[in-house]
Amino acid sequence: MYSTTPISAVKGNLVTLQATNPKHFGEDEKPSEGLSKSFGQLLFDSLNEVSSLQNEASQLSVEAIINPDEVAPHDVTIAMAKANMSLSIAKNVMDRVIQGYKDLTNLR
Amino acid sequence: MGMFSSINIASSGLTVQRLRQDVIADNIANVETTRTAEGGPFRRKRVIVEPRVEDLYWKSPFVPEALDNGMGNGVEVIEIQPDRDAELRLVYDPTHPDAIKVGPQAGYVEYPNVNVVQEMVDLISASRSYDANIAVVNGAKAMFMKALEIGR
Repeated sequence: MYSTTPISAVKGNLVTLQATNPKHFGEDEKPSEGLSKSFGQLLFDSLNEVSSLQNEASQLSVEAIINPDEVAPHDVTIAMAKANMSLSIAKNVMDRVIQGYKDLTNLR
Repeated sequence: MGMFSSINIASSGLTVQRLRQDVIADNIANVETTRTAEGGPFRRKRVIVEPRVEDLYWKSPFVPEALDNGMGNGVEVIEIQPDRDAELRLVYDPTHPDAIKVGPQAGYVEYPNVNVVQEMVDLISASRSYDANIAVVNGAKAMFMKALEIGR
């Protein structure tokens, strides 16, 4: 049904995050094209996202202290949970990339 | 269907339950209020909530299945309306400044239609719903942390 990118077309360290298994998407739903960014760009974008979530959490907690009438406590804790989750997934990806790099450098 | 969708939905539920709690607190605080700016005694407030949906929220036979939204986006408060259905409480107290002066009910004071017992039950219900939404957030986070362990 779908022809995946032939091996020869892959250049450099491209990462494609797309579902290629037809069982994973509907009949008329195409898997998204153009998700192929360079890995560095992907990492950079996701780190920006992590950083913005952390900024949001710290801003909310400051606001909860200086202006407790305007901030709901669950908004603060949920922002913290989101920042925590995005940081863990970023750390996880980093760890695995570094693990892969180490595996390659240890080839001898 | 992002990483945080279930957390965002549960968060909307938390916000609604906190607002319900605020409204219940207002009702209980005003249980003896006999005069308001719009005249008459205080009337208990109730919260009307609606599911939060993206665009169209009706189910019509003419809307094709592909346009249907599927999963919702949580809940939101559309209105806090005064309860004009429940009867006001009448207490005989002719010396009260807000007592009815003339007519068959002369000497009676109209007190708000707030039933403290019902407000307490609503308060417990709001508190338990808040707990349930927190359990959803914690469950979503536990699921996410488990997903990080895939392939370890």
